[in-house]
Amino acid sequence: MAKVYDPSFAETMAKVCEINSDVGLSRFEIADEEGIFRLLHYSPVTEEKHRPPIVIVYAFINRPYILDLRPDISVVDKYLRAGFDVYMLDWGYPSAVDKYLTLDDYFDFLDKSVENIKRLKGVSRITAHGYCLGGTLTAAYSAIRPHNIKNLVLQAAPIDFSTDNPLTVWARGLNPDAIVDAYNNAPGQLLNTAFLLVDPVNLIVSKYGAFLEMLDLDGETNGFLCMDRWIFDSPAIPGETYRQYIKEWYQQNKLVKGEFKALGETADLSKIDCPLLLLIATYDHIAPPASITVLLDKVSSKEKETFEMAKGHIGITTSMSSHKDFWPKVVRWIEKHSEKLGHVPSHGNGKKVAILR
Amino acid sequence: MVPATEEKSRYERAFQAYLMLPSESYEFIARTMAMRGWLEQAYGVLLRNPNLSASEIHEAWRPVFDRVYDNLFAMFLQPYRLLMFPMDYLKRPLEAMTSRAFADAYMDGIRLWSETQSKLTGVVVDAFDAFTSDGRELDRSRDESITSQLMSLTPLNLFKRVADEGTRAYLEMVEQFTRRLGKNEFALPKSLLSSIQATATSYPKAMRLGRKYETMFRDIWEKATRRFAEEVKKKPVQIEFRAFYRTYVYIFAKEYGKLMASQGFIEVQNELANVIAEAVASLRKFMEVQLELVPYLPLTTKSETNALEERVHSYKVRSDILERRVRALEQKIESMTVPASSHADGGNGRKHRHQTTSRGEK
Repeated sequence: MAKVYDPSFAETMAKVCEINSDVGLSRFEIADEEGIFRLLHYSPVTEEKHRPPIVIVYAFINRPYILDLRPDISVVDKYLRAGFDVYMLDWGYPSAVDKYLTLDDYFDFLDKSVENIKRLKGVSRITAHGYCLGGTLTAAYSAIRPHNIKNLVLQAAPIDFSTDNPLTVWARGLNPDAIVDAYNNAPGQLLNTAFLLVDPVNLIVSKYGAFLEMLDLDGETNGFLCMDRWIFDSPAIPGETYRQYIKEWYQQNKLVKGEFKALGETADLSKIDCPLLLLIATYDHIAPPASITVLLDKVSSKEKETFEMAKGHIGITTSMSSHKDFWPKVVRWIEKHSEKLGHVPSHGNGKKVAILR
Repeated sequence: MVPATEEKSRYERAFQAYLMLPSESYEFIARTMAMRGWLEQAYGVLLRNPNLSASEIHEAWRPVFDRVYDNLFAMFLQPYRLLMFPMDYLKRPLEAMTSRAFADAYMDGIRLWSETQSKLTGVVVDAFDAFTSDGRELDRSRDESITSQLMSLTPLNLFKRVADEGTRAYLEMVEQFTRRLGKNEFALPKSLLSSIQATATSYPKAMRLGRKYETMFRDIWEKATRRFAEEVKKKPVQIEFRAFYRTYVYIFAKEYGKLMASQGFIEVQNELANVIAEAVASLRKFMEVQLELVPYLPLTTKSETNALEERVHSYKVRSDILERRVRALEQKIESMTVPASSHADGGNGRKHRHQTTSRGEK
């Protein structure tokens, strides 16, 4: 290890301290909360131009602000500037007390949030944007509550877990019972280690080597640190949730087989009949294209589109190039499938409501 | 000699970065800087000895590459090492990052805690101690480097014996244990013995798998280092450091990529993760049973709090169900009193065919 007193180490660290790595800068209020779960409502930056509102559902294995990492690469900001009302589910930081939360608790809060938004906004359906395992949740939810979904956008969301990417192969061989019995919740570090082990030399030596070079050259480094802040801000996964999703999704592949149950109902993917947009990252090591495109043959939607970008699982969200063309195209797709409004107040019924219930 | 004020300022800058960064980022930046330094040393070997053969370069690089290896894979091997050599992990950072006096004071605290624990658990610890002292007599030179680290761990030496000598040592342990129990034998709960047994069974498995796992990492390292030496030797002119570094990353990433995707590695990794988890669970059980032996200790075990949390969660599920029922009733009343209004979202006008009233109830 480099020594603390080594002048070059101290100089490097002094430079690092000057880098701005603030993340998640769009303003929001907490519209609802239940235990560790929160429903965030983003403050509008322009008048509301389209309905229904967009509800973003991110995975429970990382933090959702990846979609609002920095203003120049913020998907949330893109939606807000386009005149959408934007909500986001935040699954929080589970502690030992949350060990017994199951996937049903996630579906339950998602369902309550959707019902509350419908009531508050006076709409009958919402546009759902699910990302990563949040996309898996959203797909299953759309299958059990199709009447609540106007448009479905699924980004890098694994649906078929029989693919042969290393992480999926590893997860299939895990014994989640042993892990939950030992640690109660699956520690965030466990997942981080697994992600790093996919390609340790590139993800450590190459990545941090490039960062140090950029630092030496006084190049742009705050994007790197924002990203690193997000990567390692990894919450634990409630034990019972971990047990369930590893077994039922990764090992038994229940969702694609039409055997997965949520809120007491079987998630039949053919019940999804709304316009569907799949966002695929070509080099995705968590949700390879084949694990998502399977959905195209399962749903009943008449309108189905796929936008693919030659990026990885996260790069599709955070790269400057994807924000140049890819995300504006996504916004246009949602606009096309939404209702254009005249001038309306930013809150549908004119009431300023922070807590929905 | 660095002036004291400059030294202090360097320390402060590094510490500020440590506070600001995620600990993993800090660790990886620090490790990468160190690794880059060592690779510069390896590059220096190449420059100073242009006539060395590939295998001689490989040999000359060994000490430097050993350090790079330890840094690169420390995080991945940590869960295993932490379980097998916990005292080492407690002690090392204290010695490295704090004043000696503080480290000593802290270690004294640990020793004191250990002694108190000994008094509390009395007969159990006596049995362990008997084994530990026996273990200290072993010839350390016989041991592999990993095993030898265990010698510094007092109670866990017991399991080292089990790992190395299998059933015979385990039976010896049981014999010693029961002999020392004497008339107390019937005072101890069966769960204590079964948790010891479960721990003793999982440790040798963890040791074996841990060694296998480390060997896999190490073998690839050797292979990649050899390939790297051959590759730089092939270059017609002296390679520049940047190209040297890029070649290093390319070769090692490729070799490790193959390893990580191999069925054999995945199997060992998963087995190791499971066995470590089993060992942690059985050790916790062992600790809990000891706690329960002393009814006046005002401490709650994890199993007890788990039971409490499970109960609380069952109430949450009930409350979710009730909340939905209330909402369904409210909507029913609303639909009876307010004429149906049109929605502003371009909805298809479909009536909801059903309203779910509970988790699973329609």
